[in-house]
Amino acid sequence: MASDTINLSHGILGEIFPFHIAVDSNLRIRQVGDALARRYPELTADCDFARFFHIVQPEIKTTYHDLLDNLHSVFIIETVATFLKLKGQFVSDESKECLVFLGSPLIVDMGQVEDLGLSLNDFAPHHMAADYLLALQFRQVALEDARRLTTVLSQQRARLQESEKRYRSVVENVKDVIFQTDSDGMWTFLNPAWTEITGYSVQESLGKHFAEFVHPDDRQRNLDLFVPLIQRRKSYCRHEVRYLTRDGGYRWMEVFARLTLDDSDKSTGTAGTLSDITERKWAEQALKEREERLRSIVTTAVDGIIVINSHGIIEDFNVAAERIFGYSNLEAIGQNISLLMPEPYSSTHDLHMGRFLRTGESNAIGITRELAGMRKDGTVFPLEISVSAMHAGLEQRFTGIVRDITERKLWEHTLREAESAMRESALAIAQARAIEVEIGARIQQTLLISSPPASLNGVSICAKSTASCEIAGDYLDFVRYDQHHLDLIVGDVMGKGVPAALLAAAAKSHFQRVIGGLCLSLGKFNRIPEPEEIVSAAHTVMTPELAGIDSYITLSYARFDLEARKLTLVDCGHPRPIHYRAARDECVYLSGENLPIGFMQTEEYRQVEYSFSPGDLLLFYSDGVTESRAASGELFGIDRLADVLRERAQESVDEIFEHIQSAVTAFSETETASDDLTCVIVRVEPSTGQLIGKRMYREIHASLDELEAARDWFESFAGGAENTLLPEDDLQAFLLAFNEALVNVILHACKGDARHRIQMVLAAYTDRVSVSIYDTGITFDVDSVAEPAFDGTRDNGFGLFIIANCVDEIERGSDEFGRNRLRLTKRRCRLVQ
Amino acid sequence: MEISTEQEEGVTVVNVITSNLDASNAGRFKQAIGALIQPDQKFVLDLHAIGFVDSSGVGALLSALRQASSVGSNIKLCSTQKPVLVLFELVRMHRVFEIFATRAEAIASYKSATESA
Repeated sequence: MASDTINLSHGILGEIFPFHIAVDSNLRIRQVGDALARRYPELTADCDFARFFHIVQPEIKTTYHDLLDNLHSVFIIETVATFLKLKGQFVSDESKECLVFLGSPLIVDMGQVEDLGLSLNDFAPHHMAADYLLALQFRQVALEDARRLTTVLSQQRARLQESEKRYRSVVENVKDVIFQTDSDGMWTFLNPAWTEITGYSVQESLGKHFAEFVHPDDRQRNLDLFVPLIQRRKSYCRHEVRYLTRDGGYRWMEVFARLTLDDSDKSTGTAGTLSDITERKWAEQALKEREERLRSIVTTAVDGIIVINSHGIIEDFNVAAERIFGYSNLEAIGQNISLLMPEPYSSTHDLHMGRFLRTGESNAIGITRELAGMRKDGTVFPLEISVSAMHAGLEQRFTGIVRDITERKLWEHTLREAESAMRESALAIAQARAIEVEIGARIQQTLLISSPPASLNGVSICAKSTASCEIAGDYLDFVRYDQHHLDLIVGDVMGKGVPAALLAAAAKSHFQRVIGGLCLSLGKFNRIPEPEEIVSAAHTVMTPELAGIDSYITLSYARFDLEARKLTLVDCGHPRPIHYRAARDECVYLSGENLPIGFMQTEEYRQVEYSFSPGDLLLFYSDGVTESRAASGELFGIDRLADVLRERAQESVDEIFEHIQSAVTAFSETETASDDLTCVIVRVEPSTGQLIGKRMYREIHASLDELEAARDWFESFAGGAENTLLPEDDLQAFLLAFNEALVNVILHACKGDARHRIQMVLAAYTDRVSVSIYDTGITFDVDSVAEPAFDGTRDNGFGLFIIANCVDEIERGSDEFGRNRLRLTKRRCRLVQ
Repeated sequence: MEISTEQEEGVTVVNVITSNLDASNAGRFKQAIGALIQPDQKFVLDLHAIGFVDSSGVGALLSALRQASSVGSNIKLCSTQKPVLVLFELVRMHRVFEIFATRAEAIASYKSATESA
């Protein structure tokens, strides 16, 4: 086979393969590489190859023909004497009819390099390259290392080129020093190369002891080698020492010395050569560092490294690979790589590699894959392999970095199981959550959010709660006592989810039970319980229970007295209701000072009262409305809510709810609210009563003297004992208010000036009685009047207080003639009932 | 308006004979009572004739009580008609004046107060 024949000059062959051996067809050694010759001087031409070498791999007989038949195999041969293993290949040099073993020491552990007295320099450059490429494939090798390795490689190449040059010129100029010494070690001959190298002239050197020119550190060692030679215990010595130069430096010299004998076989001294190897030494020095590094890499490597040739034959097999596969280095090398694979991979590997060699196509090169490997004991295990192809030496080789991933696979399997268990439980949780949401929604629909009672006169109510993705503890309840008294409870239990919803349902039924109980016991007094009584009673029952589960409830308990147009509020830490006052087109926030229920056992709940007028709106809501957040984190807030209410005050309560909802949604920029939006909007409808035909007119002078007559006129309207207009108490209260209003008009608007006229109109409707007082005086400034002092310290100030407390509506304004008009209205619902 | 007094068991009973005590006559009433008040006296105002009192009337009564208190005297009220009592309660007069249903009860209250003192 042509590719297996070589035709290289001896010099180049020796430089590239310092360990080569050439044998002829009789297996007589014809030539050995320098490094080999240096270490085994006894290897001389014509020696029998079989006497010195033992073929470890492959298992063949040591015959010329067997060798010729195994040119593709990787050989491991061992020196019989020193057990130095050489790994390489036989190639045939047809022109000389010989076989040449091209190889290098087989080093599995870098420690051996030292043990065998080898240096990296002894290795063929191609082998170095392979090693470095291997090293490069270690992930531990940093970029810096890579650069240094590249430098070393180029130095190697440069050296090789230089060697070639040197060999060419060696014929013309002997650069080596040729010397002779006497038996004492004095120079007796030196050629001119001595001066060229050391700077000392031959003249001044002759007659001096060679040791004087040796570096002090090397001197003793040199003498130790010289003495046995002279004493004829050795016939030659070869070593490396530093020789001093004239300029104060030194040069590394390779010394080859042998004993010189006279004719009578007596020792006369030594003769030999000194070769300047300084540059090589320096390069070696640099390589030494690499060597150290490489050694640490290889010995700490956990990855197996397997090098195969293009025939699939294992050429290299490191310690980690031994551990992974169970084959020893010697067992593995020379075998086909399929040895390490289970079926079907082992059968198909050659095909795949063949295809790659032909076409360059591969699905294995350059990527990390997971494959199955087979150990020596036949067990199959998962491994991770990355294969790289390289051109090194004379042919294509493949290097595989192999990692046993059995444990990782086990771990991955465990992880996958854990993941799937987690997915299952996440699914179960999601299902449970979905069920919880569904239950929560059902609880909310059926238990928590009551609809307002139908057919209430004088109010329209929108009560709605839009469910968020999670169920909250919002609840709404209405209690209707009669046509005029309606209680509204807007509550919010702390927390979310089914627990909060259940608690809200419990709170709701607690309140109903409390109200039922109080109504029963107060029935004999002919009155209904006050809101503060109800909340206090509910608090007494619920707070210990709530405290026990660390929960609490905020709520607004509001009673609408539609007859008196009065709102009684017990506020328990709930967001403040908003009162839109139509007459002033303004919003007022209503608030009490009570704590949420469940906070404190000793809390006493107090109610506050507000009056409202036709056209007014009252808005109750949960914190889900005001605490909606914009993406910026800003809260929607009560002011924005009040603005929506005021802007939309003229629309229906349902439309107002829609506007609030869309305002909150637009603000928070999300489709679904994170919390429930619960709103109750109550509109006080304007009076719709019909005039029942009674209307009276009276004009008086602006004088207090007219006061009694005016009262008489007022009372006559009701018809005295025949009165069906208003109940007696209401009539008395109305009269008090009318009297106070008239006094104010006479004294303040008209300044008691009797020339002013005051007109009065009384009118009775189906639902109310009203009196209007017109005057032409100045406009009375209501706000200038001080609050009454109930402790008797001041005489005045009671007038307005009396008016406010005795009628249901007070309207101040002016008519189309510019007169001041004060209208007082008393509702007459009880009679209609 | 007619105002007369009579002594009964060391108490000066003042009969206020008018159907109304309102803004039109409260000033006169205040003057008349003021003239009656002497140091360390016990007064009972008998209001049985009054069917209507307004805020000015209330103011006049409060004024009289303050004047009496400043000289060590006291004024109690009795025999208020129901509409008047409704107003008194509205403006918390019952917390400033002692109000009795009958003249006898009013006089007796002075006696028991003295005895216990």
